[in-house]
Amino acid sequence: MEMLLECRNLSKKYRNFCALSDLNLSLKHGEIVGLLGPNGSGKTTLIKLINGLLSPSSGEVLINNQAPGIESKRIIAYLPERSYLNSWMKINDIISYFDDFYDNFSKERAYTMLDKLHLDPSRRLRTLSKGDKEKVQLILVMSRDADLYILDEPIGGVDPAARDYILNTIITNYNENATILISTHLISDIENILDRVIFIKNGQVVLNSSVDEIRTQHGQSVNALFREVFRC
Amino acid sequence: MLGKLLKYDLRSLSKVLLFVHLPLLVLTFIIRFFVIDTLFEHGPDFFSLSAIILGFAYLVIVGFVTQIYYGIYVYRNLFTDQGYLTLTLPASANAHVLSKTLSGFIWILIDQIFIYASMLIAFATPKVIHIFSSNKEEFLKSLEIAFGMSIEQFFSWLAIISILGSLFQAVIIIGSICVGQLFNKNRAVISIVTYFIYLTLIQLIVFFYSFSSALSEQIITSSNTNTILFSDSYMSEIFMLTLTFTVAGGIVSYFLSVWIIKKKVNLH
Repeated sequence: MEMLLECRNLSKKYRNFCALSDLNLSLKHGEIVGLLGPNGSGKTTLIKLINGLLSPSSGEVLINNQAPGIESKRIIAYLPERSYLNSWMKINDIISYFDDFYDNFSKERAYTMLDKLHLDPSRRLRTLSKGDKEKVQLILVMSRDADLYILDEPIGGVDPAARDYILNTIITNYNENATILISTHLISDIENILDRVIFIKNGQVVLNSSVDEIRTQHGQSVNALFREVFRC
Repeated sequence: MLGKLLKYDLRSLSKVLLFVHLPLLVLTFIIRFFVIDTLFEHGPDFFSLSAIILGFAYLVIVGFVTQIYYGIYVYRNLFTDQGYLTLTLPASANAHVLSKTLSGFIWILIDQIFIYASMLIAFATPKVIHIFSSNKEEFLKSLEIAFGMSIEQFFSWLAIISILGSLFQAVIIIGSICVGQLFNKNRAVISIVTYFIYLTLIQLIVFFYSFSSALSEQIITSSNTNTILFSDSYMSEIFMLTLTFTVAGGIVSYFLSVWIIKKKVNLH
């Protein structure tokens, strides 16, 4: 089966610091994968390399057998861990922006989700709280019919009550053939929706296993195993 | 994709730059209707001098603000948090650079047109035109002597330099910003330094050329009046030299920017 994403001997160095070291990873279609690791383990660096926002020091990233470029950007829906929208824009404007640039963006889906989260589309982004901005960004990303969704800390800034809706939004708004890569610290919140987890430590993959295997082989939840592997 | 990028770039730039240029129009009309004719009739007074100084100061400021805001916009849109959106759009590095170049070109050119038009509107009152008409021959001749070329040639050069200068100025700003991205720290400072190094280099080349031309007697000193006059080709050569370096720098800057965005991007 053709892999959706492959990282081969991927390394990223910043001066003397090695953020990723000879990392090998592949993702196939139709999985929800948790990218888990402590702060500074290299999760965001890996995500940025996949999205072409960093250039690798060595190795390569392939998406559908191609290096990051126009084609990969068409099929990847990326939610960064920061706010990337122009604060003077209204939610309506930013929806038109996404609709203009992405063929696979559904305006109807975006407005439905905004309505469910009680977000007024005529509001300017600068008037929204941090959590609401994150919700808008997540709605924009999940309103695309992408092949690969990459979500960097999608629920980090929202209240626990909204988390369930957001996680529900994630799992109900992607097609079965698509893959979702979620990076988060809030493992217990997302554990139930994951098919597979990748533990990353010091820029290297230390575990790449299905959630079922973890439960049967280790007799532990992902959250418990994470605490054991990354105990300080 | 280029059309869409250009639409949003122009929209973002226009939101601020239109606002910056509007006061210039107001000042221009104040100077035209309340200052210039009074100045010719009654001589300078505090109000007329203040208005003219303010008008010229604003002309200079508006030119600076246009280029500074354009530079800030390019930097923020490509290489700060907004870059996480811009650089993940399904557009090529070439489309990004071309869109930024064209939007910058359009606004820097609009700025130049605003400046020339403001000066024309402010000073070309019926009284000034009348004075100019009655001394037209003498005035044009003195300008031709001063510039070393006919007045038509001078304005043709001015138009060419304004249009090509606006285009390549935008590219050089993008190139300087992209060069900053090759470094790990102080990227904004390095971009500004790169831009000024480039400008200084061009000024130095033109200066040394002017100096060597003067030595080779292209500048003629009139023995009767002791005034310095330019030979026929001197100013054309200076204009051509400035233009050549601006175009060459712009072309290098364009391809360097595309290469950096394609191969060397490292967003923090």
